[in-house]
Amino acid sequence: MIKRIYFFIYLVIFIVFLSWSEKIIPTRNEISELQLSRVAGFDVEEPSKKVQFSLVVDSEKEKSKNASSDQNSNSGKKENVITVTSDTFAMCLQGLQGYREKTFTTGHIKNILIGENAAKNGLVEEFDFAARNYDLRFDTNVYVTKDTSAKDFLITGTKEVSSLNAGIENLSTTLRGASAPGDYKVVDILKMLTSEQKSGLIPAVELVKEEEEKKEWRIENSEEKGESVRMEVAGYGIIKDAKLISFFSEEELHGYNTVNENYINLMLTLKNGEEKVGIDISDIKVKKNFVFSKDKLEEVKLEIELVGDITEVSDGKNLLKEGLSFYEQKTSEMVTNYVLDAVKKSQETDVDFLKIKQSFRMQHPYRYEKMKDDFEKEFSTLPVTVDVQTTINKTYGMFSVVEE
Amino acid sequence: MEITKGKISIRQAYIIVILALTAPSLRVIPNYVARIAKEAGWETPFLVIIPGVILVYVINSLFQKHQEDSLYEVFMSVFGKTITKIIFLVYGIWIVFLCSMYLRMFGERFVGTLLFNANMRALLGLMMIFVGIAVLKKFETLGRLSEILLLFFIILFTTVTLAILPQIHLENLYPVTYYDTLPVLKSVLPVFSLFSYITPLMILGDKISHKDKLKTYGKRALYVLAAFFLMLILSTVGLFGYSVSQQFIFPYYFVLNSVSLFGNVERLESLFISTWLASDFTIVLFFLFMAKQTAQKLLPIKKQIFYVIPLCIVIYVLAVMVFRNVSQVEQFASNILYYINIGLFALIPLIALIVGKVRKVV
Repeated sequence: MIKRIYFFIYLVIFIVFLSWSEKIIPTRNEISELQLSRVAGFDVEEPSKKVQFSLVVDSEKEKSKNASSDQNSNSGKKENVITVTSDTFAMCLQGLQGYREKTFTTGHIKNILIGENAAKNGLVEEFDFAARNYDLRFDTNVYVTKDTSAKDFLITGTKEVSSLNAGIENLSTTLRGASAPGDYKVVDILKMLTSEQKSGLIPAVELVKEEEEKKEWRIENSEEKGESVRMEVAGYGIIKDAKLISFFSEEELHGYNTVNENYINLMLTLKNGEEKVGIDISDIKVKKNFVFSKDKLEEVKLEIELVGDITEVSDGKNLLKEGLSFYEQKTSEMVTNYVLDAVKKSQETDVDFLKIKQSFRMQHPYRYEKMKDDFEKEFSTLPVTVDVQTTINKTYGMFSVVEE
Repeated sequence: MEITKGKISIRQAYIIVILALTAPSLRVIPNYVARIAKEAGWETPFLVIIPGVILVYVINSLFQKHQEDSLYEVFMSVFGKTITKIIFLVYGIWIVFLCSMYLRMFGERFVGTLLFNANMRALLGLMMIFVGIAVLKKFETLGRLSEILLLFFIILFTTVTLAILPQIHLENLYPVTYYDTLPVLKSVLPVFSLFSYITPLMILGDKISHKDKLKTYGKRALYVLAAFFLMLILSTVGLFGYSVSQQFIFPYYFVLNSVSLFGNVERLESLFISTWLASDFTIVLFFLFMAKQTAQKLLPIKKQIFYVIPLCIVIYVLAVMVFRNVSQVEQFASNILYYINIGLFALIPLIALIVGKVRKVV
């Protein structure tokens, strides 16, 4: 028994010493030793085609000459952007390691931005790096930066908001609430890139100058002096063969959101702009029907049921007298046009973002097997009819504000 | 179930198999099923029950008249001394090889997911020391240990699966058509080959009591494993889709890496890793026990330390030397391992049953 106890003690000492060696089992870094970053950007430098890796980090006086730093000059701001250029993203990350006293880690990145140019060159290199980087979480949000590089977006972003990550998280909430079913994660992009078509969507963000505001609204802040630039959601970028090919217009985005049963809000402009009616579409049901003639797919019918609420009537007219059916019909017409725009875009780009191919496969798996290789080709010329039925549900407790 | 001194019950024996199978299942099943059966892969666990039940019936029939014997004695009565020795020599070599492969897989997983810059040889050596000490202890210890560990595993795995369920996309698992029949049948092979490890378990048959309940508990173990496999496939292929799942060497690790519990608790992999390690320990220990027992039957050496130490060294050397990288282990597993497993652990018992019935010895 004594021998066994001695043996056990020796064994424990042996294992402890073995585990102590950095060469055998490296110890984990303490959190204070890590350079954390919440936002990263991927770019491709032109014309050298070298890759650029940008990280938003807490501001600190830099000493090294190995990397360029675009520190925000505004006082009171805490973040700056460090960008490394190299042949591969792994080398960029490696290059960063000697730049500060802390170890750079990708484990806390919450948002990844891909520059428009990089996305147009193809997403494979970026996401191959992301997939092989074990620190990077697969539920990290991904965006493409419209009309700008990720680096420039990050630099401007750090000037405009005190926390870029919080700013992007806020955009993500807007995206979820007003435009999209949910965030797109690294894993969603990996799924797209490993699919046969390598096609799909990627959420887009953009920097918008106040005076060039393209949205249906314009915001001004009395605290901001001079030229103000703001981060905005810009719908989606369309990916085909793993490359960014175009972006949605506002109309196509509404159409996409309708067919994918996402929340939309609309503004009906009637009587040459004299009357404006705000409608929130809160409930959307879409049926995709496929019409066959013998074995040939002849037509796709989209039957859409909308339930919405009137949020505002510009001239405060009595809705009871006018009749809600008038507004229901106008909404249906408007949404039909949006959906047809989105269908046209899908047919032009051969990207199944309306999930028509997916629905066809789910509803007619045997027919799909026969025509799966030619589906895109056939769909691009296939007639698609859209039938929208709208029901106005709420007028928020009143028929009119101003009695006629 | 009453426990006889020096023996474990058949229930405990199956628990050892279930726990030992968790480590290879987490690695193999989501990847292989996604690769072979694509979105129809969730059907595989249902189909694997059929060959699984047949194997349980075969093993049960072999031990009907040999309640106190091990597989060695059963084969002796069926095939005679020479053929049995040859079969057990092959079994011994293959078990040592399996043991080294699972040891290497443990190292690859840890170096590939957690301890990136760790020295794998040192990790394998540490594991081998612990397993070597454990194998010198009684088999009952492993039985009792497995009962406790399995409970932890079930709680953790069920919690994680419940957290993942709302994030599963139906389109990743549907549609299923008759075009999927052949791929699904093909995907049964690797899954069944894992379940066939109940045969080497019976090498320790003389240390297992209540073999009259072999069939009852065998079927229960099979249903538990099928449910586990189903949850594993649903949570991996259902979450990622087959195209992504088949790309990963350890898909389930990425599932843990991608989900959060109630939107707040992240990094579930750290919660799971200890149980995963326990499962790795169990499977290496399981095969080392079998290798030791096989050596004991073939060699006339009484002191077990004299073959445990050489076995540990051989297994360690094989784990370090034979496979150069994780891709080689994967290629070996997908091209050779399952066929040999099924041949040795499913077909040989079936042949033994047929021969035994003809000779009226089983």
